[in-house]
Amino acid sequence: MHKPEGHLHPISRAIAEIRAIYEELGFAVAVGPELETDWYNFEALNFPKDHPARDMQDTFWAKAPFSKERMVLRTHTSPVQVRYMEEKVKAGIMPPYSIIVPGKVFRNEATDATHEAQFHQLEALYVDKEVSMAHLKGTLDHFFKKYLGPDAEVRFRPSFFPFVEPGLEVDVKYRGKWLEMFGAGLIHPNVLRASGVDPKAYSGFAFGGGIDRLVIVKYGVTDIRMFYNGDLRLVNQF
Amino acid sequence: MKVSYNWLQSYFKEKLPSPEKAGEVLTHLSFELEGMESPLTKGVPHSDAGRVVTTPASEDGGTPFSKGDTVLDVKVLPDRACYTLSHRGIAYELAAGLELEMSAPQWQKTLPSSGAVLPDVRVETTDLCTYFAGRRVTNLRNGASPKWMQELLASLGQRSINAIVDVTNFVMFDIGRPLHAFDAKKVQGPIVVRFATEGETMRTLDGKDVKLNPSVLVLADDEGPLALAGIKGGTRASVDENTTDIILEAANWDATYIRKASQKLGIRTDASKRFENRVPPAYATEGVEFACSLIVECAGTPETKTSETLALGSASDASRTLTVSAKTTAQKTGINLSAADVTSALRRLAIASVARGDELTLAIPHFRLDLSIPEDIVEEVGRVVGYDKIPTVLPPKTGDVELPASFYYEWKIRQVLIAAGFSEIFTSSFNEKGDVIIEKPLAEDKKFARPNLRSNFERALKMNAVNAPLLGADETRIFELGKVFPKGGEHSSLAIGVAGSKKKIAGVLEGALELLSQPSPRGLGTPFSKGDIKDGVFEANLDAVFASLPEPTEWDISLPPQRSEKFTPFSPYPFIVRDVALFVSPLAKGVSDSDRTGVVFPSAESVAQLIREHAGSLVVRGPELFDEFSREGKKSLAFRLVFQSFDRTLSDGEVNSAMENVYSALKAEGWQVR
Repeated sequence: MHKPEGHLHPISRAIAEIRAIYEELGFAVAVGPELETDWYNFEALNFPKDHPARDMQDTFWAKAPFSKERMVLRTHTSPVQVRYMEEKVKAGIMPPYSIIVPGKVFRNEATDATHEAQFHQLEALYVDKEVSMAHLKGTLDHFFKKYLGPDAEVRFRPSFFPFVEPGLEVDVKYRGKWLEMFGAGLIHPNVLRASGVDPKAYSGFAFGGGIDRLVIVKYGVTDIRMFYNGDLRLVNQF
Repeated sequence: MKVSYNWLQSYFKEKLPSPEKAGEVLTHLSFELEGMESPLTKGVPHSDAGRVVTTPASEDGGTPFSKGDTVLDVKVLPDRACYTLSHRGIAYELAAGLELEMSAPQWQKTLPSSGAVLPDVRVETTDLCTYFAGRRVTNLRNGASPKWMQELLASLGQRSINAIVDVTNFVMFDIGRPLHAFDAKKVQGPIVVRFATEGETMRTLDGKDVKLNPSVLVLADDEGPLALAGIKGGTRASVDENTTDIILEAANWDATYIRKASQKLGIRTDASKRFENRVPPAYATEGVEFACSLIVECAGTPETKTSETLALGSASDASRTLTVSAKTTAQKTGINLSAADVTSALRRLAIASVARGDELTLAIPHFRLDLSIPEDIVEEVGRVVGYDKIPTVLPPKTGDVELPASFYYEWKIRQVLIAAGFSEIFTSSFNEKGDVIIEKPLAEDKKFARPNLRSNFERALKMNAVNAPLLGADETRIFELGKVFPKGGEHSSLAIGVAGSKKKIAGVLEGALELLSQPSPRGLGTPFSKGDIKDGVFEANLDAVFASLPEPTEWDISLPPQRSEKFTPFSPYPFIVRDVALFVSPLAKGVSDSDRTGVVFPSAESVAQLIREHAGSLVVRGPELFDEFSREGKKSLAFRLVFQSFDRTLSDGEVNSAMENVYSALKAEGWQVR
């Protein structure tokens, strides 16, 4: 019998490894609250009220004693895009910006081996003059090759997310199979505008996806719920 | 949305490539395909999505649709829903992808008026009903719809009802325009578009009584509501097999109104789904025309008369233009494209352009309500040219890489605690108690956002303490970092817990706090208070701690080594622990008992090996040596074994018999089991 050995949660390890990969590319880490306002989680991200796009994410609405407004457990890490740019603009710092946002997000959907009501997302934002989809593809390709291995390949398919235009689905070829991994696109001008950045002068790309899914794919974890039930039988393996 | 391959084919004179190929084109040009199946193979499970099953050609070769059909399940997203919730819209996408010319199917026709009376309609809410197209058709004989139509509808899983109703459905799936037919003889007086009054009710076509109120728009006659505008028809003026005269209606409803109303009423239909995603305004008249001609074709008699088409309000398809820079469009795609490449890509989508220098003035097709800003055109060009053509380019670095204090110091905490033997866990962010109320919780015990880490964390500590033998430790040390949501607002929290020997818990916890309190870089350089320890668990608000710390300057965190590259599944069933202790005899016989220093005993590893060989396949951990001593020429060894099954709860009996095998093997060596 020996004294316990300390283990890092595999999601945390992934976050640290992801941070290191992006630091090399000059991306900083940004953070934001998990309990959000409708403005940051939806409106500023170009999800108008009463629009069918609101159905794309099953949302946990919440009533908080410290807010008159109806709150939302953030459905994605994208609100931090707006919070970050807003803060920089307020401080008089104009783009270029490049950040990643690793953080917990929530979706109100039935849970099973591949769905959890809470999971971790990785968000990335890059804003500068003349940003293109080639920059987006280059950044993603670099990341997946570093994180999953040099054989990883990236491909884009058309998709729709209100906060980007064009909107893309990012597939990654890993161990010979195409897997749907991230959502991505060029930042919608309405999002830049809502954040105080002039979309005529600047453009950018953003992408986001599940960190849990990356870990599941990389290590073969069979059930996403194991990440959140506090079970050392999972954690101590890593 | 389900799309019939044969239906799509009717939009092309040329033969379409195989359904698989068509599906692939749509996947890379337009949207995800959720599956493909044959409509005639009933009960194809959903997991078969993606597998293609095509029906054999039917016996009668008379109709254009008697050959086997394939249904593509297309995932239409809200941006393109305005034009692609229809076969015509999907055909338009295919035409662009395959560079094929589209042609109108033979059923899309317009019939002139033959003198029936124009329907009498009044719209009171012109802001929410900007246009109303209507037409009366009389002296029909409403039987079954033609077989070809029934088959196409069946492909989509639509039951055939009667010719008139089938035609209205058919036109909706064909061009994406919902329509309604009223039995004209059951309508009393003019049809009025108005808000319902308090207390009015209506029985829907599927027999449900809906209580209405003044926020709900209805189509009503003198007697009351006939239909929920844009959402669902009522029974009172419904079309049945005896219907001879009808009023066809296609009105343009406000998308936001339809979305709110259908949510409030809890009624979502194929029609409401299309309206809330916006329907191109010009489709109203077109839909009425196509439906009228098809109805006459399918249910007409020599006496059938049609009216003029009523047009109340405006449905201008105001052909829009959009001005973009060819250069900027190409630049944003990241693909090396000339202005000519841009315009030819757009031409494939029936978007004509006029160039003046770099500036392109684009004529946007009236049904492309989704195209309104230059970025939309970047997408159109990019997807037609092909996203596979985008090169990979790393963007320039943007400057200093900042590090948020909370992120950095949380990692510092991880580093310190892991080195001290604590493992990191995550628990649920929901709890049965709290201050932030979740409106629609997933479960009774998840009605609140957690007000602290403690409650869920203590449960995890107990569970892990129970599993300690399985994990090979007699003490459990865990911690969690996470957001909590108490009365005062969200903040970051840290929980540290120890389970095991009661005497040691406090000491281990206090030791951990001391390590965290050490000056930087070993610790955080700020005191962590022992006062926050309760019942073997420490919890503290980190926001307050971080606020007192200096801004981090560099990332100096090193990760603990990773133990495995691969997850190993573990059993969900309980385990059973057994210990075995024994005296082993010296290896060499004949050595005098008094010559103690010369005695050689079998090694613990060799004994463990023997135990392992005889303990059976249910051992998941061990034998692990946990005690060893020599006394009076004898050596005592004690091993722990953990038994567990992957498919059942083990009984004591099973484990006892495994242990009996072990005991016999040990005794056979002449050793004494204690």
